[in-house]
Amino acid sequence: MKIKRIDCRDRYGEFVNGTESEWIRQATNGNDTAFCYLVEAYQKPVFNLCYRLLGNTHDAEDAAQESFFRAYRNLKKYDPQRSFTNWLLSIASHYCIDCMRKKHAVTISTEELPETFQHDSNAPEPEKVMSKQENELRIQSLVNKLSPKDKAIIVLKYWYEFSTSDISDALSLTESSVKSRLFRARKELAGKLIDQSKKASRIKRQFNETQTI
Amino acid sequence: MKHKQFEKLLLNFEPLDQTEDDLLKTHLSSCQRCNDLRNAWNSIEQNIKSDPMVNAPPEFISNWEIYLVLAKEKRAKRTSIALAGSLLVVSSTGSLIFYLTSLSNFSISEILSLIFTRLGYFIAQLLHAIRGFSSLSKAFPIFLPISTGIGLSIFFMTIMLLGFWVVSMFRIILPKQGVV
Repeated sequence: MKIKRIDCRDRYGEFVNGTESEWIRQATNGNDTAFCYLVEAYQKPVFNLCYRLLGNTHDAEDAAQESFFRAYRNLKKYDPQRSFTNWLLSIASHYCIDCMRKKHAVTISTEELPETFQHDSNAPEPEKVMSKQENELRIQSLVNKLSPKDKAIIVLKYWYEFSTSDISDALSLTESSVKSRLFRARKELAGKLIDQSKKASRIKRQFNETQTI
Repeated sequence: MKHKQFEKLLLNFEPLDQTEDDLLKTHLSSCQRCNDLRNAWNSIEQNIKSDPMVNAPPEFISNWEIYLVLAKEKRAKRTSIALAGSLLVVSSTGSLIFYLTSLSNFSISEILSLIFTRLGYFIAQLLHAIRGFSSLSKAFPIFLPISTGIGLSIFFMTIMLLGFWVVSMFRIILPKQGVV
């Protein structure tokens, strides 16, 4: 039996070493501890995907747990020829898209920032950190305005570096549909950023004018 | 200017041939709108790429273990409810047959033959209706599509209403963040 070794360090910034297919085999045979190893190995990419799609940590955690449970339940249907990460992220994407459709509008809470967004007191230039955080939040709020499927496509493409065929496989779309949605989403995001910048510069100009008066 | 054509070249990220590349460069040198679009997208892409993966909360694994236990319990509960429901249906059908046989001195075989006779009668009536329907459609060719349309719309409306009712019942009964 071919045993594939996991090395998630390059892709997810964390080193996870083990025998993925062995864990999957054991989990399929009902070993919950083996599945727990898989959860441990993939918690970061799955949680990040849910956070990017749902916009807040609370919903993201619930969605990630539910996605893992769905994977656990359907483990027997998993095709070993397919990448386990892609399969797992596909389950999480479908679940999050359903959640977004149910919720309609998604908002990102700026009070409840996840670990990577929280202010680091040892940072040498607090203004720079704050402006970076503001920028990240601005981008996330722009992404949040996209339709559920477009948002999932953008997240999979830019945070996970999925190819068009990987995205089409994960979201059950055709490759041409993924391409046209990607184009539309990029255009929408760029257009919204331009609008925001114009609005901000108009406000700044008005403020300067009132200051001079 | 044909902005759409250049927007596609700018945002599709397909490899450009020499002619397309030259056209795009010429257009960008004179079009502020397309330049803004390109700069805006570049800024977004740069921000997304520099945005790190968000870590799961530290208690994620322990929460998962609890979630798994609760979800399994919930699933087992649902399976037992479904099993009890099916047992109830089977036993009530059995009791009904038993009640009918004891009450009316009919044997089980007689009741079954009665059911099959009724079923046969129903099928014969249905066939008769279909034959009548086809002769009517021969006489009036427009009758078939209109009546089929009306029939199908009534059918789908009923199914849809039934679906809405079932979904709303589920939404009332099941908790919002339930496990499937």
